[in-house]
Amino acid sequence: MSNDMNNRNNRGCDKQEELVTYLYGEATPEASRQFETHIRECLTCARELREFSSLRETMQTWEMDTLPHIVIEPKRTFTMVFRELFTVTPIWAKALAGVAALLVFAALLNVEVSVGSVKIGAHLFGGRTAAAPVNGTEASISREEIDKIIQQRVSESEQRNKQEMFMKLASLKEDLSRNHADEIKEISANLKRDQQQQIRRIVNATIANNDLNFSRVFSDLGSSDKDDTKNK
Amino acid sequence: MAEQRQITDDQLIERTLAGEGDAFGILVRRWERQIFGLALRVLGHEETARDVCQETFLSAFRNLSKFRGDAQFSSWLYRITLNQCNTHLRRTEAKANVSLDEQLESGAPEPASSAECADDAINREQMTKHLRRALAAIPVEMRQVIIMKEYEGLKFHEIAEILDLPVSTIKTRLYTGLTQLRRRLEHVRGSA
Repeated sequence: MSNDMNNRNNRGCDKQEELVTYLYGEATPEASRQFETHIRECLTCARELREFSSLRETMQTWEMDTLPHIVIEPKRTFTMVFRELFTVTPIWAKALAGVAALLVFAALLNVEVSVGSVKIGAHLFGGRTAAAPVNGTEASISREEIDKIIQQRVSESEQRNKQEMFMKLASLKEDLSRNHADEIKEISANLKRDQQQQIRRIVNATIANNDLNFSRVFSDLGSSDKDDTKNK
Repeated sequence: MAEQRQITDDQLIERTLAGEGDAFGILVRRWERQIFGLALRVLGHEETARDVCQETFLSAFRNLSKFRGDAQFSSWLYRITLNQCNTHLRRTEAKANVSLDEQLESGAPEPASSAECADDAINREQMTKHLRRALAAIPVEMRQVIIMKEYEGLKFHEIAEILDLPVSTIKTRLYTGLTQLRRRLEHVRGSA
């Protein structure tokens, strides 16, 4: 702003606004005539108008020859994509989608619509098993009854599991005792065989150590038998 | 293409807000040249101008729902561009702020040689170079007004609307800016 003031003072003329308005052709015809009259008398404004016009020509040398390719890819929101999809989808597909959405909704709520003998409905999570028909007619089942059925099923299942467990344990016990008896038999047989081998080794060792001559022993034993016979 | 030209900016905005992604693409193609030109002339650097251009359109897209129809879309877009330019200039203030003395020393608009005078293209190129340097050296508020007036061809009241300033201030800034630009270029233009 101080620059503006300096210029204003230095020029000695306060027609800057009129000058630029005239320069850029935005002055009204009346204002143009007035300014043209003014510049016949004001040399400063006349000179500036010439110089600014020349400057404008110079400024036109800076042309925009090339424009770099600018790609703007705005991120599309889910809503935008949905709207776009809705716009391009044909009516029959929209209707089909609507019916499907209604069915899913009905299934979630476990709702069944009946018109006369026609029944329309869908069930998620096996909803029909809990609500079994009673005597051929559809009956609504209260929450207590559902709880009772569930408890009954649970206790039955527990009982079944227990029986299976007992049977498995009994079978295991039998297998174990049979295996045990077999093992005892085998061990005792091994022990007997070991003992016999050990006795045989001891006897052989004793014979070898004492250098016993069985033939002499037997002959001695034989001669002594004869003597006994003679004496008799 | 002819059909696209018939569609107004406001209609394209409505379509964009209704979820038609291509509508904004038409707006971008319609205004990218002006926006890039403004950014390039204000900033004097092509890469930065390209970034500013991208940011301007992205910002416009994000805030499109806030755009009120009481102003022209182009004015709103120009305002976003200038704000983006100012942000960039503030970030690189030290580099961008070239003093006149510095410019005269380094920029050194030397008198054109006789060979250059003979070749109009080279002369023109030289002049553009000096002009860009001189424009970069004048205060940004004056530079913006000169560019919007001279290169974008906007009316005084449109510039006033974009910058949210009185028309008289715009005219004063233009006058002062032109005076400074003439002073910075007078020896170059005198020799050319």
